[in-house]
Amino acid sequence: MSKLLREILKISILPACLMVVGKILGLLLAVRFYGFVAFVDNDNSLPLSSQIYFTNPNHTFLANSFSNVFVLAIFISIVAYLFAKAFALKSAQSNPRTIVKLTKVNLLKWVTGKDVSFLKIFVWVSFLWTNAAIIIAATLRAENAAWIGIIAFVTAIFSAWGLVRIFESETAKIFPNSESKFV
Amino acid sequence: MLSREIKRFSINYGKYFEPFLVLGVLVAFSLPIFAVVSMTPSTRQDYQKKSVLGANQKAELKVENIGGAHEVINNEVFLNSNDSSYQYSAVVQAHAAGHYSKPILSITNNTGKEVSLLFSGDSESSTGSRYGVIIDETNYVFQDENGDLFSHTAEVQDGETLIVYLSVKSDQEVFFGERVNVDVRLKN
Repeated sequence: MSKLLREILKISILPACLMVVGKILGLLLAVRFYGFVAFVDNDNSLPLSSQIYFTNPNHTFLANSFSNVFVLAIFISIVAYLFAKAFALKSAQSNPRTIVKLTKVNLLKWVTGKDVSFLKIFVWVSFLWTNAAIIIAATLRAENAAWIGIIAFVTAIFSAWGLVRIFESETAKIFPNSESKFV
Repeated sequence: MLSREIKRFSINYGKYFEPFLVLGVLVAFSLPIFAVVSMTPSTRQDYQKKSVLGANQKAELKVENIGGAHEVINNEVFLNSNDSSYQYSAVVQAHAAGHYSKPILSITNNTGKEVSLLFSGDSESSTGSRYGVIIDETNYVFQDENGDLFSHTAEVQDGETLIVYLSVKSDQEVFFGERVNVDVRLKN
């Protein structure tokens, strides 16, 4: 069986669960924090047929904004952590000063472990893009605050840029000193 | 022995299971998307809370007299003339200069939509006191010290409960009691 497919499947379970749990938690927190009246009913026009309803459009807007920010913040934090780890590892391989700096801040584990692969970052970034797309679509439908859509868009752009940089450094391992030949 | 057989089976036939892995990856990516899209909340204003026995709570605006004892505001009378008009009155007894207030009405909106209420009132004589209703910590004066009358509108969200206080402010001592009326009307 394909190792790549097995690995993708294994890595994608956690972000998939986190996406759903984050949304549920965000909504629950919004309902709890603001004391909104919410109920669940069936709507057959939706993929999973169940729909959460609020009785006031302002409450819907606020709860949706709150839950989207919550999910986005979770994914931004994790992707930022993975990027920081990957860039620290890359920098440590060519620059001993990075190792000294990481030792000073007690983060030497970041460059000694091999738990950050390109595949892992790619899967997490894919889920971040998915979230960003959902949030941007909701922003265009005026279902959440505009600034959340802008943050999601900017985050998607920056994560794409980070992914390209990591992809370049990974391919440089396969094709060392021949950057002009494979691109 | 068994693990070796599994490994052999995996090497020989594993490739035939790869489409299912692709399907698994697709499900892993698409299922949370569907779930999140379904969990995007929507608005429905016709919701009525159900009791545990499944009987619907009556959709109505519930206005109740809170009652209770107060040294200055007492002898309360509450009339509900119809579903959109409520009359409350109380006697404000002789009192020293100062500010007095008492919770008088509890208004619960179970209509399934936002409602507007018009508050007005007056006193039967003029003692130079200022009368108003306090809603959400704001004092809406309906009769000032000169006897001029005002009315105010307050919005009550669906499911919200408002506690309305009667407020009496006197700059000087009042030597006799007077009856104060508060009128609450449903605007929409």
